[in-house]
Amino acid sequence: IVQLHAAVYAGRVVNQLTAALQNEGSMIMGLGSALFEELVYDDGQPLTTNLSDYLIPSFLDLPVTLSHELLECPGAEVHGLGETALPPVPAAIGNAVARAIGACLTELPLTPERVFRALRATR
Amino acid sequence: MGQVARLTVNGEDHQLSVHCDETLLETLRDRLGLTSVRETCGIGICGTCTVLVDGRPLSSCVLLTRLADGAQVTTLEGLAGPNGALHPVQEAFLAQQAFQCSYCTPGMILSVVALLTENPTPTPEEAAAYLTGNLCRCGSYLRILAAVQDAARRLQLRRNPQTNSCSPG
Repeated sequence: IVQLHAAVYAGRVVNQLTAALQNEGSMIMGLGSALFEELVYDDGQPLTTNLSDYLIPSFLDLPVTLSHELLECPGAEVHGLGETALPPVPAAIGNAVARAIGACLTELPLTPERVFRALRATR
Repeated sequence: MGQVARLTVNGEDHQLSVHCDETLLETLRDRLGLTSVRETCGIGICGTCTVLVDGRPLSSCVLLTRLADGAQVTTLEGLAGPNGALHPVQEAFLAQQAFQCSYCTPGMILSVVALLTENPTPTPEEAAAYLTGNLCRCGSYLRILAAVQDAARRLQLRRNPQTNSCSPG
């Protein structure tokens, strides 16, 4: 990922740094669910049972640029930010891949094998 | 049946009778009560259990205590000064808020200490590559990289208190 940006509605921000951390963390978690994280089962037996198999983002998986905006509204209430920035990330990456290869993937994570199969199916 | 392991942990000498399959994680956390040393994966992948053994960051969950015989071990508890003053890396982590749940933080701080000992002026890319073995599920990576730069400055100031990169006036 070269550039990842999120704009998140935040109502009224009380603690800028903590809110920024929430956004950054959520985006990185979203990266993981988009590209790496998958629970694999074989006949009901889980195969991805440790961090060696269930891959979560590390430092080297960060986008070249990761940025975000906290959108505030005067007079808005203070509410939890939670992981708001997370769900759109796989959608955004999925759309970027679809635009690049001309085919939609409908399964996460977007593994190289799935991208390859989708590419082949377009021919 | 125990075997003897001599360790210096955070400056204190210990002579311990340990099982041959006891890991350094178990010794530090369960036997010596150093609860900053935490387990996550248990297979040396995630870096949560990182401690410094003779200055090197190692995964304590896969290091047999018996094999660390004679080593100097540093955990997070051993970083603060004798009067309780925080280590510059700890100060940088606080100043940059380089954590969320802080479960990875002890191992992360120790890895940053080792990084800045090896390379006092790392680029963000060098820091990221060095710290790859420390996973952070909460995604505090960007703040941690900011803390690395902040800590590098603090350590530089410590080494050269007269020279200051701030321009006067």
